[in-house]
Amino acid sequence: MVLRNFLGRVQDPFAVLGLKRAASSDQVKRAYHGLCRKYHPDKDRSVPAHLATARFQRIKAAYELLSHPSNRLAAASTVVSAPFKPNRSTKGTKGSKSAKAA
Amino acid sequence: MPDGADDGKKSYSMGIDLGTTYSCVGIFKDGEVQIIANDQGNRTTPSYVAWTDKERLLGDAAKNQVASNPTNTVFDAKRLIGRTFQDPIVQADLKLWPFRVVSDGSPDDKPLIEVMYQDVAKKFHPEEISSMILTKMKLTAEAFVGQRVRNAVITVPAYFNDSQRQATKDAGEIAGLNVLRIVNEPTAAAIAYGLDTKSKEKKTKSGEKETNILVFDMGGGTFDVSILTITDTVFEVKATAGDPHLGGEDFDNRMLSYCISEFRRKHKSDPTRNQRAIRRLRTQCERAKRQLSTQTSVTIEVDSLHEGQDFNLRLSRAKFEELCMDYFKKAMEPVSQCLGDSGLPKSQISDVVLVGGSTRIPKVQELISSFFNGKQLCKEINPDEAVAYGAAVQAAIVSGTGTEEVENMLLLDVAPLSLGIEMAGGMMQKLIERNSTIPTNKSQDFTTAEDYQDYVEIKVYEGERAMVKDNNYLGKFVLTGIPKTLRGVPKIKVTFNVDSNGILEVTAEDMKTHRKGEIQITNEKGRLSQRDIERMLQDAEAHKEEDDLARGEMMARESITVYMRRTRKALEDIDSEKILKRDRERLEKKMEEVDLWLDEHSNKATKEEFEAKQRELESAMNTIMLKINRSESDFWEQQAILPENEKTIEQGGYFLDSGLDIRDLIEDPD
Repeated sequence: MVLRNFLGRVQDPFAVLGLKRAASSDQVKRAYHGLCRKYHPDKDRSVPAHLATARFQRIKAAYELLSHPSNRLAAASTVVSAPFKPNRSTKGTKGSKSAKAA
Repeated sequence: MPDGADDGKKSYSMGIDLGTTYSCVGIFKDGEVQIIANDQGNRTTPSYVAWTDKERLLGDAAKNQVASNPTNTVFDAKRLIGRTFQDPIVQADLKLWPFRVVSDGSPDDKPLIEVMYQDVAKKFHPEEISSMILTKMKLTAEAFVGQRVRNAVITVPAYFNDSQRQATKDAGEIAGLNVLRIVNEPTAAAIAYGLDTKSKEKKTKSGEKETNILVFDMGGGTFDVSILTITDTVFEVKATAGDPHLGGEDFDNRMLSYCISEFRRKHKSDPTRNQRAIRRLRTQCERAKRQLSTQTSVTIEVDSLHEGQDFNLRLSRAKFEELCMDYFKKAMEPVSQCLGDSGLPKSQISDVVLVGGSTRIPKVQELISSFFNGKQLCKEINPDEAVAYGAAVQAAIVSGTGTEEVENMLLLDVAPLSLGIEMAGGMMQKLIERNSTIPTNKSQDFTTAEDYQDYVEIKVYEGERAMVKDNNYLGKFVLTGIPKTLRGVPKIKVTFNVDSNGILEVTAEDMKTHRKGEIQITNEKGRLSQRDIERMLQDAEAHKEEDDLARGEMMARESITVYMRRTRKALEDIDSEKILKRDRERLEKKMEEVDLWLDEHSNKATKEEFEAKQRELESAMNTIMLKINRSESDFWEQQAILPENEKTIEQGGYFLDSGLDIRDLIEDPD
């Protein structure tokens, strides 16, 4: 599972939520709720609905990635090492990096 | 006195719980939700419409005459809405309804309700019946706030599918409403619960706390279960499940069949074909069911039910439970499914909130409680009003007319069913999984299955089964003009977009030609066309005499209150030298008199009486004003002049004698 932006570029879910890699699960949730309050299509009327929906879904996807412990390990290790490289599978991450992130 | 001389117009948005058997309306006003009583003083209104020889009746008036007019009294429109005539559920319900339901004969196979009105058979779509109930609820709200209310949030069962949601939205449009949002009933109830507990907790402690709740919502006709996580002001739906055709009416029907069989056994005659008898018996069954929630046994009595025979039956609570046990047990399945989907263990559910009249049944409570290992259930919120309460809050959130606390709230709801398209071989390719947070959109690329294929047919389904034939078909569209080439080469991007109402829109685009096709998933499965809706809107206009009567009264009342307010302000503004003390006193006395009259008659006066009173006041005012320099006040200047080509109310136009445009007096957001 990889997060992508409009242009199909891989995005760092931590960056989407504005978090440091060491963020606790509580911080992840709080960041998600904060962004929802700001960018949920019900709240943000400054952009057309479909764009607001897309942005909201990206925030949601980032949150989902980071709220499951296993996904989170993968996200914390792969995306950081290859933010500008073409899409790669998130599977097969190295144990050492995962351990560091956790 | 109404809020000062400042007539800053505020537009209100209402929340309507459009129920199978009863409806309820709430409005966010002065910082809190008011559940509004109808003209009979009842806070819920039967979802009934009836046609008598003379007129159309709505709500209590319709339900009260049901026994004498069973074939022309329509209810249960919510059980028909968004379904086809051949739907097995519709076919089963048909046998129990005293009114006639027929197919519209089109390929869409929409059901139509047929009634006799002034010796003419009239047919109505379920959407039209619902729109009439919505109109009734709207009038109730308008009478309360004293101005036109057009914006509404309407609730639907969380487990309603796309067609049913869309049809409910259409019903709102036919009623002339601006449907702000379609909200799920259990979610609305959760808001009511959340606000209630929050206000209590404020006293004890503050800070962010996360609670998981399960809302068990069983009403007259539908059943929903939702699990939500409430964190401060964020209400996040984790999972939802349910049965859109399970509720109190099913229990009534069970009791009814039991009573009929008892009658048959005792009297050797069959009342089944006697509509009036059945209706009377059903009413008694419903009453007995309610009583059995507090008593352990009741007697069902109907004098001279059929062929002069009385009906008399002692029914115990245990017998009632036995009759309905399979339904009660069936209701537990969605509970475990919902828990499973949410990924939460039972122990993490801190409160089970009961909503809907059927949750008053002791056996239902007992089963839920034992499912949660003997847990105490939350019965703090009013099960009949919680949904309308939450809808009113959501209306305030969406329209931005609430308090800061309310505007801070955020609802994250989900789509109840997976959505996808048919793939080669009849497989269902899901694009949106059930319980996905909405609004959401998802795209996937598809290609052709055969060489030189220049079009694709995209069929959209909802449901959880692997094969599309086992799922619910929503509609299809054809994307043509794909450049002819080998199979597998073209790239067709299909996008599913589910809006905040849970309504789906699908688009497909050929990535080479950028040719697009789109459907709002609609038609096929029973949805009305735009033209249908427009026709119904006109129909509704044509026979809403009684609505107009009520509106006329309301407008006249509003007009005189505004006139009073302005007169007061003008009187204050007038230079004391310009007006004789005697005149001022006379006018003040007159106004006091009208004020008193309004206090006393405001709820019962007719349009004519209001207008007469206003004329009295105007003439008193005008005599005095003539004496005063006209140029003194723009307001009075404006008064005497009627704009060109405009007519007064008497002439069929919009202007009061004073030259006021009544349209200015009534809030219209458009």
